[in-house]
Amino acid sequence: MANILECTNLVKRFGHFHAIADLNLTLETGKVVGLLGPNGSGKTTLIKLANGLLTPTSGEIRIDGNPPGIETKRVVSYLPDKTYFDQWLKVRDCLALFADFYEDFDLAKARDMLVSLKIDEGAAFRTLSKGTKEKMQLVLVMSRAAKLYLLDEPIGGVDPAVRDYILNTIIRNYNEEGTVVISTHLIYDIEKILDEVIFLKEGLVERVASVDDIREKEQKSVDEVFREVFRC
Amino acid sequence: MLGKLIKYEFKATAKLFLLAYVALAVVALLNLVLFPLAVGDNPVGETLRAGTGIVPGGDSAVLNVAGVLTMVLYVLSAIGLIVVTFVVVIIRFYRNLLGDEGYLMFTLPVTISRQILSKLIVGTLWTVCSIAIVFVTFLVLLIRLDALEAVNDTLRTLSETGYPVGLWIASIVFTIILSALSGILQFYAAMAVGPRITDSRLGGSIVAYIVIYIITQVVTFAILLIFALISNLELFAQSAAENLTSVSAQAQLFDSVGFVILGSSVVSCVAIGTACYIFTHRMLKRNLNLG
Repeated sequence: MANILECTNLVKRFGHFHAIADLNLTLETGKVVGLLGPNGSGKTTLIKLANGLLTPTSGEIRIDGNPPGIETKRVVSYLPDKTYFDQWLKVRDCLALFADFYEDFDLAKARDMLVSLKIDEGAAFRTLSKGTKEKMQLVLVMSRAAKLYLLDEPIGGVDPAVRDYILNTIIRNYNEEGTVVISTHLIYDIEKILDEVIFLKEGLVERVASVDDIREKEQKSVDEVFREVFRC
Repeated sequence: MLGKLIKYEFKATAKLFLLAYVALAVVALLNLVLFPLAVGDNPVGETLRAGTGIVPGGDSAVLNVAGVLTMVLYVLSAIGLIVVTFVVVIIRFYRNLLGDEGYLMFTLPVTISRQILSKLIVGTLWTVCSIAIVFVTFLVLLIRLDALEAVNDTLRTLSETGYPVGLWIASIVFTIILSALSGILQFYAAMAVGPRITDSRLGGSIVAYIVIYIITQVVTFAILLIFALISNLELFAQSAAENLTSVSAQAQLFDSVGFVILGSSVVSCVAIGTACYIFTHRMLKRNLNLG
């Protein structure tokens, strides 16, 4: 199976701090992958490197065979851990923007989801609550038929009821030929939808495992394994 | 894709600028009516006197104060518009590309050069429009004074002697557009390199701008000097020594001075603008590192 994401000896340093330290990783297509690790383990840095928002200090990162650039941006659907729309745009302008720039964006699907969330297209982005902004961004990101979804803390700032909604949205809408990477430290909520997990620790891959293996061979939940790996 | 980026950039800024232009036009209009009332000696004042019996220029302290105040208000508004234009152009680049909104803009499948160009084109458009609005409202205010008539007469006389007045005006407009482009690119370059200088993007950008400013001043002066050297130096010396009286000698001097100022401005704007564009592109491509 083809590799959608490939990191070779990837290093990202901020001053003297190694956010990513000589990381090697390959991800296959068609998986739902949890990128797990405590705060500061390099999850966001790795995702930002994959999006070209950060440039590597050394080493290489490739998506679908290409280094981050215009080709990879076409096939990557990214949900950052912050709100990224101009506060003065209306919801409908945000939809139009996605439709204008991403060929794989399904406008009708996004509209349906916004209706079910009772988000008014005429509302200005700045007037939405923080949780609604996050939901709206997720709707846009999941309405693309991307090859790689990079979701940075999609359930970080929302209450448990909304968490379920978000996880369902992800599972129901992603392009099944694509790979979904979800970074989080809230493992308990998310482990039921994962095929594979990557444990990141201090900028290195501590462990890659399939969730079935963890459950069947070790008779444990991902949450338990996480607590073992990252015991303080 | 450049067209689409320009469309969004334009939509994001249009409301603010159009509002500012309407505001300046209203102030100018207010001034056009009130200032003559204070001064009195003009057609508007005359008409008012005939119609209402109020005697402008002296009789009413309120009218005097209102007239002068609107003039002050106009001047401040005009300066304010130019300042606001630059501030908005700078903030758009900073917030939309280097702030949180950069997470969206830099993950769109669009090249870095198009990102920069879309901002640059729309920014230059607004800068030129703002300058034009200030210029036009200023001309309108001049209508009530004889100054406009005098300028017009001079231009007409010059045209009649076969002097290429139109060409000079076109050259000046062209130079203003180039200066706007180069000025905006200097801000972009400073903001793009800012975080490499200090941890604070804002602080770094300010330091970078000061450095870029010093470099551009030196370059501009050097190019001006070269132009002065290759142009007709004798004529400068002559004009300093005596008052040129003949029309043809005046025209010749004007030609040389114009050539030195406009020519050197064009060359330095192109050189500085190109350097800043390449530098900004390089920084955003290889050292983006959004915080």
